[in-house]
Amino acid sequence: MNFDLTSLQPLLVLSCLALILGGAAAVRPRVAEGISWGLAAVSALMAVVIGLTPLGTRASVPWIPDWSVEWSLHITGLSRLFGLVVCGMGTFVFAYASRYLRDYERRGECIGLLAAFMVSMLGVVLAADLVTLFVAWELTSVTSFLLIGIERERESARRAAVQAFVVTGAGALAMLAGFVMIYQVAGTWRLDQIPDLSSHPSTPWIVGLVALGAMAKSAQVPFQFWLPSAMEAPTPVSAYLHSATMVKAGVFLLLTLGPILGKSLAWTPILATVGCLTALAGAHLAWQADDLKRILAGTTVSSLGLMVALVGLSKQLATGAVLVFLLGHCLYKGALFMVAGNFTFISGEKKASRLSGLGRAYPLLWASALVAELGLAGFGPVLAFVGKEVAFKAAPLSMLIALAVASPMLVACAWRLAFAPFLGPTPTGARPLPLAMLLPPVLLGAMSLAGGFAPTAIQSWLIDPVVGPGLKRFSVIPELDAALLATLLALGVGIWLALKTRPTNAVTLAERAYGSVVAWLRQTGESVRATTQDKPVRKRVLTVILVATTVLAIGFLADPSMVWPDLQLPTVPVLLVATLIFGGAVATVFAPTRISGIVSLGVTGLGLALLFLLMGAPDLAMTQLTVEIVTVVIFVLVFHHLPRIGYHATRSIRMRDAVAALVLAGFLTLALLSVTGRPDLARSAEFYAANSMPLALGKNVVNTIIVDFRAMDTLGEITVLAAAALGVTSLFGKSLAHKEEA
Amino acid sequence: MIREQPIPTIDWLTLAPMTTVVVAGLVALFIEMFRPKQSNGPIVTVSVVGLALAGALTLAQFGMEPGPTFAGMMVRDQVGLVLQLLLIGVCLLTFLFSDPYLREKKIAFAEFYQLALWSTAGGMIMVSTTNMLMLFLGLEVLSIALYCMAGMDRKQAKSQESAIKYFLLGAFASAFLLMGIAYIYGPTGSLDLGGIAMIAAMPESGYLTMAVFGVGMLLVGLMFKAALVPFHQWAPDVYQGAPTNVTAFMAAASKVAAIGALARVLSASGALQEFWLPALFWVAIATMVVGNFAALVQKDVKRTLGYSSIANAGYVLVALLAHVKKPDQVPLTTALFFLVVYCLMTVGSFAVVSLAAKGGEEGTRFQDLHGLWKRAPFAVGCLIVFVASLIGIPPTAGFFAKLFIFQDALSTGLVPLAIVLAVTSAVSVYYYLGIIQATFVSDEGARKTVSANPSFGLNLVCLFCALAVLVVSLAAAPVSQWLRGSTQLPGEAQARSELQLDSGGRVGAR
Repeated sequence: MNFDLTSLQPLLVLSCLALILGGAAAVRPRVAEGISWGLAAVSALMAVVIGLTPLGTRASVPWIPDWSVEWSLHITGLSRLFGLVVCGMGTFVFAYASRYLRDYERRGECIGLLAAFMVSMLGVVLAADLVTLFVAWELTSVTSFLLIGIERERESARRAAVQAFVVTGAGALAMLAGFVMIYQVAGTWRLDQIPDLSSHPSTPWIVGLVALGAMAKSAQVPFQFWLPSAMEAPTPVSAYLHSATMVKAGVFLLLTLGPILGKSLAWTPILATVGCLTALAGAHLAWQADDLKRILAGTTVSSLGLMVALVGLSKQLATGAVLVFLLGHCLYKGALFMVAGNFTFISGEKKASRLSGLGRAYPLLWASALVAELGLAGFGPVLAFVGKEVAFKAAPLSMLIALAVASPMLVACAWRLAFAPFLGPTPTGARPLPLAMLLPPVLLGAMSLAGGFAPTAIQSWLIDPVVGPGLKRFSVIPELDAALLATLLALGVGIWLALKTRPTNAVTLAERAYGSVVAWLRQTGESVRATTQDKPVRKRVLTVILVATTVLAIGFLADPSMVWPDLQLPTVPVLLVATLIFGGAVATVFAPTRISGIVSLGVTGLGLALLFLLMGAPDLAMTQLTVEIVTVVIFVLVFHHLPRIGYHATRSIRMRDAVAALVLAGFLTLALLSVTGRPDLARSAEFYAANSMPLALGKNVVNTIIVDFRAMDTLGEITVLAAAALGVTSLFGKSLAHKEEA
Repeated sequence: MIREQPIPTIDWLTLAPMTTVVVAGLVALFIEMFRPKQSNGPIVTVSVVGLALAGALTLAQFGMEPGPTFAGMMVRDQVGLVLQLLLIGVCLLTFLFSDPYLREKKIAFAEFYQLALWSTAGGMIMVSTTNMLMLFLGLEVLSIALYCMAGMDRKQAKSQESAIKYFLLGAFASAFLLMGIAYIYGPTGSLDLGGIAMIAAMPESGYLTMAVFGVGMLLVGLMFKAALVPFHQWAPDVYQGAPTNVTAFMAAASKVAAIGALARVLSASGALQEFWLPALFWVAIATMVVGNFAALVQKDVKRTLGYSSIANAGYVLVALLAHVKKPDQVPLTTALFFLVVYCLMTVGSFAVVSLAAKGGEEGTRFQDLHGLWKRAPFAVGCLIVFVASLIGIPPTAGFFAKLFIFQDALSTGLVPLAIVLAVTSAVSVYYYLGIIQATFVSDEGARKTVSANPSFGLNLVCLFCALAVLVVSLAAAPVSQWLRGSTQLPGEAQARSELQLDSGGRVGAR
């Protein structure tokens, strides 16, 4: 094994450190606040390391060589950008969480899971092959599941956690199917070795499957409903997982696979359509909501839709726009979540419409909120605005129209959050805001402004390595074109919307759709259960008979030629015995009482013994006779103890059973006749007759077979008998003893 | 005419593990006989020592020259050894948490250990023979002990009912198995599975119908044991009714034995696959669909896991079909890997569920698990790992188990099976999470019983299974290499060589 981890070693060491710190927090919640600061420092350090590591660094450990599966990480332009987002946002979130979660009952667990999430997410963005990517991907889903359901006593939290996991998990399975198909086509899991598959005939399937995974993870239509529900988690979790990083994994995946699949015919129609619809649905969701975090979740969905639509365009300019907008989105949305958390911290209020008058007491908070709202509204000297302008330039007209409809609703949300909570008289009973909770949104706002003023630096350092050189320099000064016109129009309409409308808190169509999918699943399950299960034993036996009949029918299909044996007329005694057997069987079926049935069955057995005798097999006849007698005796004994029961079956059911039995019997008879008509392939009797003396030193062939040639069988038979006897003893013997005691 | 023939040598080592297990059962029986209704300590000790010895004897045979002994009635090969070891391990793990559970159920002295040991021995015979009569014997040794164990809790009507149902249907299925053996024995005079290939190599002899009958009947009997649709109906009832430790043993051991035997029968009858492959193709689809969908609406955890085990049988059948379709390309390792992982997660989950028994009462509905995470956080933590593995979430081993099957199915052209596998797995997420969810509900008003405190043995089982599920995944390469060992089943190589002969010209009778 070659451990060439040299250049990614610092990052791995820091990741381990983060995990250890997280574990420590989970074990010792009392020191969780300090540990959270430690984690903030570690993630800051990780961000620095990622920034400094040269592009193209790769590390791998073989995992399953036969399948060319390995653990491998690499740093490309794209993974560096996302890695910086993960670790950079991690720094702010851990700093914020340290104070925010101080009085939270499960702070240790929460911090620990956040640390585990950060490392998993880093695994997603640094993965150098599809398997590592998938494993890390699922780990982020699992940590997200645990974080959403962290208040597991609450029904709504559990439901939201399950919902999120079911959706992302099912999407991930589809994605895995796509990955396996990529592997089958390309012959490698390694991202840097997969060629452009756009023209391969199975690529549309791959695109569809992979897109499903990305759509589920990034909350695209029709899966967008899980994200608002996921707001059950504590605010730092929402800020980190459900706005800044994890939900962007889908976008990341699409960006990663864009060069491989982007030119496929399926790529643009699927992603652009889904993205535009999501942008609209998310904006609508946000506009209708009153709960602070639901508003933010809706706007996140909308932004994700924009990003997916742009990735779907598969153009250099669009990709550049995605990346800038993504950075800007992290900065303002992270800040907004923290501001929302601060609102709740100060006033205990979760509804936007109930907040007012906080501006005078918390001017810095207002300032940071205003900068963040600029990003949300998509206007002003912030990074998100730069990204949005480029996006509008890259978008074709149809997409532009969709975005122009979505934007005003986002502007309305921004307006409502920017002014109403801060204006008016200061409310009583507001708590002072700790610095640790105020600084992160302020710093994020500052970075957002800095980015807005100097987009070219970001472009040359982070964007160009991904999309390649040759892209026009970004600028915060907008050009006078259709894009600016759309922005201004959205601004006007949005403010008008904010002033004229009130949130309705409507349950969205998608949420209802999820409910009906689950209901459908359960219903299908119920009908599957009803048709296949909980049947009386009679029906189960019938099933076995029917399948056996089918098997025999297939057998006849295998070789339809039928060889009839030369049937000789049986002698009179044989004929008589045969009549006896047949009569016994018929009498058993029509017997009025149990006892008569048993006796009739006994007659059949006796007839068989006679038949053996007539055919010249006295030993077999003896055995048959003994077994038959014992069976009849046991039957009588057992049935004597059973309560009297009548036949419940109706006439039609009995007819059905009779037909099934006759068909099976008919096939068996045919099969038997067919065998008798053909010459034997081999005669085992000759072997035993010839070898009984030389090999087993016995004259009685039957004896040598039982105790010598097939001694193992005999040993086994004895074991079976012993086990059966023991079972019977433990079932009957003890119940009798039990009765005596009683 | 009498020819001088050498006395055949017997390779006792091949039989040693099985014999050791049987003897351990006998010794345990004598202990119970001479000091009845006292502590089960000595019995457990003897059983565990016996199993450990049997395990060591099995391990010692890895790498030895494979081949038949006892005139072909037992065979030593990689597949058989792996599965024997697995059966021994399952029995051992079940024993580790059984005693406290049986005491809570107040059925501590019901010969569980002896029966389970013999049942294990039966399973071991099943997976290491190519002789059909031995196969039948192994099946009966396995099953009869299971019937008794399922009905062990004599105060519970459910336990009794499940035992009777299991017995009636099981006996019926065994009859078909026996008939199948007769159909193959008839024309060939051989009880070896090789007889099937012999017939298939001579289509002009006109015995093809017989062989197809025979294989079909054999399959009916084995599919019943493996709980494949449409022979699955006993499984949920019996899983629910039987005492939970018996369920754990049954779910793992009888599945391993049945799948092992199924693998041998299918490999031996590879030449006839044009007849049975389409049928089993639909069986696999039906099993995956029915198992996963019916599990969605269950209200009892043991029943849910019962359906889950049906679904898992469907997954492993996909692996078998892929293997039989292209034996050179797809090794049997995938199925073995899956079985190993399946046993770990099944025994582990049932061990956790067995905590619901206390003071003679046992509630296994979902609401009976409420609040379990507070009382047994470690066990519930492990349960999360098992459930994650059952769903197939990396980095648990269940992920690779399913991924390998998925890929095998794709590479052998069984694409619809791969799709059904993926879709039904997605459906299964819902009910598996329901189990975890139930342990977190704090409202305990609906509970029927208070759960027992996890014993040391139970925690040990949980720890072992959970760690193993993770380790098997991280060490997937060495594990699958070890599982692969030599290569294929001997019957299969034989079948192929005879087929080659056939293409060259006619082959006469043996």
